[in-house]
Amino acid sequence: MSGKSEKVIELTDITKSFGSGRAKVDVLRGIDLTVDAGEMLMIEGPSGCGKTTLLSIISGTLKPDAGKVVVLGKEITKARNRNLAKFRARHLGFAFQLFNLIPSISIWENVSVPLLIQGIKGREAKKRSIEILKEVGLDDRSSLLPNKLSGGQQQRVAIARALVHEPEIIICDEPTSALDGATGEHIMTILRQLTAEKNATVVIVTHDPRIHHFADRIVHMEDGKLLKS
Amino acid sequence: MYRLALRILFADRTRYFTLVSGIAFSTLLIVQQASVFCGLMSWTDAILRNSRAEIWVMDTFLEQVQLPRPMREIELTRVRSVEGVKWAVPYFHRVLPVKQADGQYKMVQVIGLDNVSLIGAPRNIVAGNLENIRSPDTVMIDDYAVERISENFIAPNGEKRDVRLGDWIDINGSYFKIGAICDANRPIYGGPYIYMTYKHAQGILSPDSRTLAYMMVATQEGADIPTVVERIKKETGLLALEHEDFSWKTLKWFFANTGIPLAFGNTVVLGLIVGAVITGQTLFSFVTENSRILAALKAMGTSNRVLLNMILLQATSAALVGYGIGVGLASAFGLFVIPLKKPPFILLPHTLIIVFIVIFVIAMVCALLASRKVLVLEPDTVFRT
Repeated sequence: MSGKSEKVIELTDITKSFGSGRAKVDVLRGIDLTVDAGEMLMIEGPSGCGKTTLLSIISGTLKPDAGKVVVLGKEITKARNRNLAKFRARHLGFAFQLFNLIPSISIWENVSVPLLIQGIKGREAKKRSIEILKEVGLDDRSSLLPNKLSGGQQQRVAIARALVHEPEIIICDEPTSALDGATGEHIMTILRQLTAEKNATVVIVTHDPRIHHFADRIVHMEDGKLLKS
Repeated sequence: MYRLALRILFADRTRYFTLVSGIAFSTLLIVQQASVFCGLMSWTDAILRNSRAEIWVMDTFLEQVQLPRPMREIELTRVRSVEGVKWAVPYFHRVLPVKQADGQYKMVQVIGLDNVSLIGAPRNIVAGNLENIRSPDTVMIDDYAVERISENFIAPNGEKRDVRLGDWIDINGSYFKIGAICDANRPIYGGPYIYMTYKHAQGILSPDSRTLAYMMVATQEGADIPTVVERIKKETGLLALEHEDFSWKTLKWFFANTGIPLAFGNTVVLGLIVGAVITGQTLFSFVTENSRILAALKAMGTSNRVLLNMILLQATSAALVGYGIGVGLASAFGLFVIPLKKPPFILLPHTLIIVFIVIFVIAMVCALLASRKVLVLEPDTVFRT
């Protein structure tokens, strides 16, 4: 694992636009950003400022029009989609705003998805899934379907899924926006604690000021630019 | 991941039921119609299935076995003299009326067999004895004739019952006693079969009528059958065909001159369309509804190849279950109708294999079309609400 001062994410002069001609919208305009290993970075800003696009580019799910993205020392900007998918599967964990749990399979099976993607199956996958569920306090509910859980519990499952394969970077998209204040606080406490234990780097996009105090650093975005960092 | 794909499919019960039902219905329709078609086609050469010969000799312009063109009796002698022919016997075939108790007529097919050998008689005798037809004015009828003639049969004592051994029937104005009952293949048209000796058959018609419909020929031991066929054609000017070739000639005639293949073909195509539309639509909506989860899987690092395989596996699974149910239902239909002998039903292994391939291809094509949506899905979709 990288040391605390090591830069795990480096973005240089990133631009991204959507559409063409008169309908062209410049979403990111020359973004420079670095994130250190083990750091919890929050990106906040008003709707439409480009923070989700920035998160997509950091996570390698979207390619910029120009600029350079280096994650864990690997320049992902020019990587082929197939290699990028492998890279995400191995090094990144995701927690989404709407959890995106598969409703038809049990909680532990949902948690095991990143392991299955990497080819880890059967008892090993189940063992590791139950272990991480224990860490988020849901091991006693591992056989239930996601719809039997509350929103907060589902987000804890999503966090367990993001951590189960021990990735170096966790990408979180509005992890508390669908939750009430107390539940959001609880979720962030768990996330903070687990990622600190594993020295994982966390990048969170949020416009929920209630969770700002968990961040090591907050960057503000407006009109496709970082205002301060 | 593949087990996961199946779990996702099975959990969506409504859509899974629709998918399997569509494929099962399509399979049922295709297998059932194809089997009835095969059964119907087997009726076209029923005469040949009942009477087997190495070589059949007939008029040169004959089109199919149900439309005989009687020849001169002298032709029999000419065929017998061809090198390689062991024996040749006459075969009478004519559609004639059987008079009913109410004065109405039912058409039957009278088959006249060689007086001495009775070659060409069906083997499965269910009542009486084939040898009985050597007796004066005695015939053998098939089980279909029993069914047809019994519809308006009244016994001499006034009792209304089925015909049976010992009853007399009026064939074209001549009375014949039923001396045997056989189980024969049914004809596609022309009515049931009544077997008698060639001499008795000749007696039904006016003396100047030609009665030699076909000649059944056997070759000498060691003789090459195709060579003998060619010799007969060359030396007599008649048409000679090996048994299977005669069957094919008849089958081809029905394909070319009747609307039967087209009618059944339409239903089969309808089955294919129903299967394709339901499978395609269901898979497409399945993929659309799960696009957010599929995008999440993509974001988490699932490759397009794995996602494609997952969808193909789902389609294959539904296709296999649907195919199994469809074949099961079609077989149940067959088991029900085979004893009734109508509609005719022959489920060939070829039908099962071809339908399996067709259903599988439909499922795969639909899955590939549906998966296009997944393949072009950007993984960052998952971040866009």
